[in-house]
Amino acid sequence: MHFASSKDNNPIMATISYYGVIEEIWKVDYVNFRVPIFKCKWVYSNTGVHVDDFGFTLVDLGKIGYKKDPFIMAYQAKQVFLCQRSF
Amino acid sequence: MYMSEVDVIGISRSRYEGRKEGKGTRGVRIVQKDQQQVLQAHLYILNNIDDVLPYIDEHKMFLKTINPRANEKWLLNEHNKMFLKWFKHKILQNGCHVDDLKWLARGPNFDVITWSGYDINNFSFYTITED
Repeated sequence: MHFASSKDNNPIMATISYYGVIEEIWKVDYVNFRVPIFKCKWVYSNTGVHVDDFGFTLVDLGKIGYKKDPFIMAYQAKQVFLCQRSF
Repeated sequence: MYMSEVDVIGISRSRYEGRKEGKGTRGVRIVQKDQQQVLQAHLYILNNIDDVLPYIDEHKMFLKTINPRANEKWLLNEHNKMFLKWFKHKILQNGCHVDDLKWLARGPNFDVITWSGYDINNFSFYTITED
């Protein structure tokens, strides 16, 4: 569910990729089974993620957002490789 | 062919483990986490387990029925605030045949197993401090 802002009363369902780094890996214990989740620092999509003219996705790890929603199911995570951009 | 590339791993202990479970690879610790944070993780997990989805829909419908004028955002906030308690009551008081749902309804242990490395879906993940 996506809200354009905190005042947006008409959220929409959408599929969006979020980029971030894993801060902690948790296995939440329900006694009979355990569920692995990642606690992440997410880059704010609006200002921290940008696709350049060559098709590379630039991710600014200094623009951290969504601090209230740090968790992701481990099986939903995909891996990307980050390298420092040279200017 | 469907799933022809998948290795047989036997019967998993629970339907939420097995294929989707993955495996910790390094730096295991048991850490007592802030209860608020564990409950947030719990709510997130419930929202992402298929067998819980009918209950989420039911709870949202229930909220809508008793608050017919409320907008989507208010309903979602209210759902997030009330669902854990409602779900626990629903599953444990009204009875439920699925054992795993009962474990979920009781809620998680506040001691969390943490790893600094984890293999899942053919990826090897590390926490930022290990990377």
